[in-house]
Amino acid sequence: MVESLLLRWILTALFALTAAWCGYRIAAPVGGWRDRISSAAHVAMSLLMIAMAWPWGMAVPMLPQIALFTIAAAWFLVLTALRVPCGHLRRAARLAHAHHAATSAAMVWMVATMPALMAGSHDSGGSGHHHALGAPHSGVLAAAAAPTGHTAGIPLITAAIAAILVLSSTAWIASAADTGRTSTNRATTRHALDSACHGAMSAGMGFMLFAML
Amino acid sequence: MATTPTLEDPPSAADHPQRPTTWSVLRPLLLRLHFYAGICVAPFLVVAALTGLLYVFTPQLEQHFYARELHVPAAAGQRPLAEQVTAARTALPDRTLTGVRPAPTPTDTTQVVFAGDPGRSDSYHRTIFVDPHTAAVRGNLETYGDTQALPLRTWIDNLHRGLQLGDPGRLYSELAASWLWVVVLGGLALWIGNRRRRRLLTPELRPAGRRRVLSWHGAVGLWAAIGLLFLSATGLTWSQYAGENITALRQQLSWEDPSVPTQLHSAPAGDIGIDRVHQIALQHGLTDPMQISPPDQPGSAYTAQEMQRHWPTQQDQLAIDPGTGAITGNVQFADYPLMAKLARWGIDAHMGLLFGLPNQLLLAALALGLVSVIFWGYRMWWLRRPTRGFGRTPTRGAWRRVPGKIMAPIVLGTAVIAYWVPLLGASLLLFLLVDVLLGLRARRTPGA
Repeated sequence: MVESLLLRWILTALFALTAAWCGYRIAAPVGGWRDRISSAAHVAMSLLMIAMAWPWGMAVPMLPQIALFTIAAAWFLVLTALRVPCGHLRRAARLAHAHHAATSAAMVWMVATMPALMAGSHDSGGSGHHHALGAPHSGVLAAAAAPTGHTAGIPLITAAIAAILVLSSTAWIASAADTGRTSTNRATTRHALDSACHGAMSAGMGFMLFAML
Repeated sequence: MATTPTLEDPPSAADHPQRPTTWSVLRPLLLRLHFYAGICVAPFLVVAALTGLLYVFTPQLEQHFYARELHVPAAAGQRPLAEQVTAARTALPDRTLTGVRPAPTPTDTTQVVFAGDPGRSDSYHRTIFVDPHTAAVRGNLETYGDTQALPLRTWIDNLHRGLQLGDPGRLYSELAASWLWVVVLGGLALWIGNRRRRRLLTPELRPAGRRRVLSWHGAVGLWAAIGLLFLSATGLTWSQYAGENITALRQQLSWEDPSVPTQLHSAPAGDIGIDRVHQIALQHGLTDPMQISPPDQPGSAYTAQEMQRHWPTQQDQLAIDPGTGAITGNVQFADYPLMAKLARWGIDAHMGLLFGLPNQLLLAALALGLVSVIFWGYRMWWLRRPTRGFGRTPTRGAWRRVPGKIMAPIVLGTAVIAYWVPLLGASLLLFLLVDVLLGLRARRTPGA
C-alpha cells in the first residue's frame, strides 16, 4: 500500500493507462496468440499494481497473485529461451522478454514482502489495520509480517529491485522516444507506445517499491 | 552589422559538421522551456522579489514604528520578572501565558507572550510589552512566529508569502519558488553554452539592441544565480505542498530541530518562579535574548531557549524542574544534526536575519537583480516585435531532436521532481497540455 494519496492516484492513473493499452493489444495483437498471452499478463500486472497502491488492495488474496506472477515469469523466460520474436519490439526481443520475466518476478517479490514492508513502515507510529485485512488469506503473510531476522534484508533487496526497475525503464523510454520521433506510420507509432507502456510499468513499479520502503 | 542571435537559430551545419552534440540537441528544448517558463512565471517572481525586498528591511521598520513597545529609556535596576508578568496578566487577564522574553538590554522591554486571539493559528501570539524598570505596560500587540514579528512585519510577510489571501494565496509564492530554480539553471546553461556571446561575466555596453539586452540578462543572471537558487530552495521549505514533502523528508532523516524533553519523572513540589529559572539558565551558559516557557501541563518542566538568530546562532535549550531548579534536559545548538543547522541558517539567511545588514543588502541586491533580469527578458521578447499573437517564440518540436538515451533520464527525472515539487509538476503538465493543443491547432491551420 502506498501512504501518499497523491502518489496512489498518480500510480492508479499510470497503471490504468498501461492496462488500457495492453487490453487493446489483446484485441489487436501483432505477434499472434503468444502476444495475446503476454499482453494479458501485463493487464493483470497493471490491475494488481493499482490494487496494491490502495488499502483495499491488501485484502486481495496473496497466494493466487504469487502463483499468477510465477507463471508469468516462467512464460516470459520460456519466450526468452526459445528466442520467440517479440510482438512489440523490433530489436532485442530476448532482452525485452527477459525484462518482462524480471518484472513478473519483481511482482512476486512485491506481493510476498509487502506485509513485512508495511510492518516496517508502520513501526514509526502508523496503524497496522491492513495486516488484519490480509491475514486471513495466507500463512505466508503472517510469517512475512513477523519481525524476524529473515525480514531484515527485505528493505535492502526491495530498494535494489526498485532501482533496477527504474533504471531499466530508461531503455524502454529511450526506445519509445527514438521510435516515436521518427514514426511515420501507425505500426511504428504502436511500437513507440508499446515501449512507452513498458517503460511506464517498469518505472511505476520501481517508484511504488521505493514508496513502500 | 553584427548578427543578432535569434531564438529560432537552429544549430548550424558549420557548428556541427558531423553529428549533433548533446548540447546542440538539448539547447532548443532548454530555450523553449526557459522562454515559456520565464514568460509565465516571471510575474509571480516579480511580486515575490518586490514584497521580499520590502520584507528584508522590516527589522528597521519595526524599530521605527514600534519604538515605544520595543524600547525604554535606560535606567538603573530591574523589577522582578514575576512582577512584570503580573503586570502583563493584569493587562490581559484571560489568556494563557506561553512565554516570557526578558529584556536583553536596559533599553529593551520585556515581552510577555500569551496565546493568540481566538480563531488565529497557533503561530500568532498576543504579546504585552513591559518596562523592566517600572513594570509598566508599554504596549499590547499581536506577534507572529518564533521571531515575534510585529504586525507590520507580519502583514508584509503575509503579502510576500500569500498576497494576503491566506492559503490559496500561498500558491503564488510556491509557484514562484518551484520554478525559480528551473529558470535559473536553464538560463545558466543557455548563457554559458552560448557560443555567440563575447563576454561571460560582464554585460556589453554597446551597440544598443537585443544583443546588449541579452548580455545584461545573462551576465546579471549569472551573478545572481547562486543566490536565487538558494532563495528558491529555502523558499520551498515554507511552501504548502513541496514544504510538506520537505518536512516529511526531514522527519524521516532526523534532520529536524531537536526539542528538549520537558516531561518530568515525578510531579514537582512547588515552583521556584520565573526569576529563579532565568538565573539558572544564565548560570548554565544561556544568554539573552531567550524565551522562558512555563510548564504547559502538570508534571512538565520550564524551558529556557536562546532566541538569537543572527550569527553566531544561539539556540541552546534547557529544561528546568520547577520544584528543584535542577536541569532535566539540555539541547545544545552545537549538537544539532548538520542538516538541521543548515536548515536553520538557510531560513535565517533567507529572512535577512543571519548576518544583519550585509545579509539584508545582499538580499536586496538579489531582489533587484531578479527584477532587472526579468525586465531584460521581457525587453528581449518585445524587441522581437510581438505585434501578433504571442510574438516570435522558440521553435516547436525541439524534443524530436533529442536522442532517447538523453530524453529518458530527463523524463524520469522530471517525473520525480514533479512529484516532490507538486506545483511545478502540475503547472508543467498544464503547460504541456496547452502546448500540445496549440500544436494540434497549428497543424490544422495552414500557414499558422
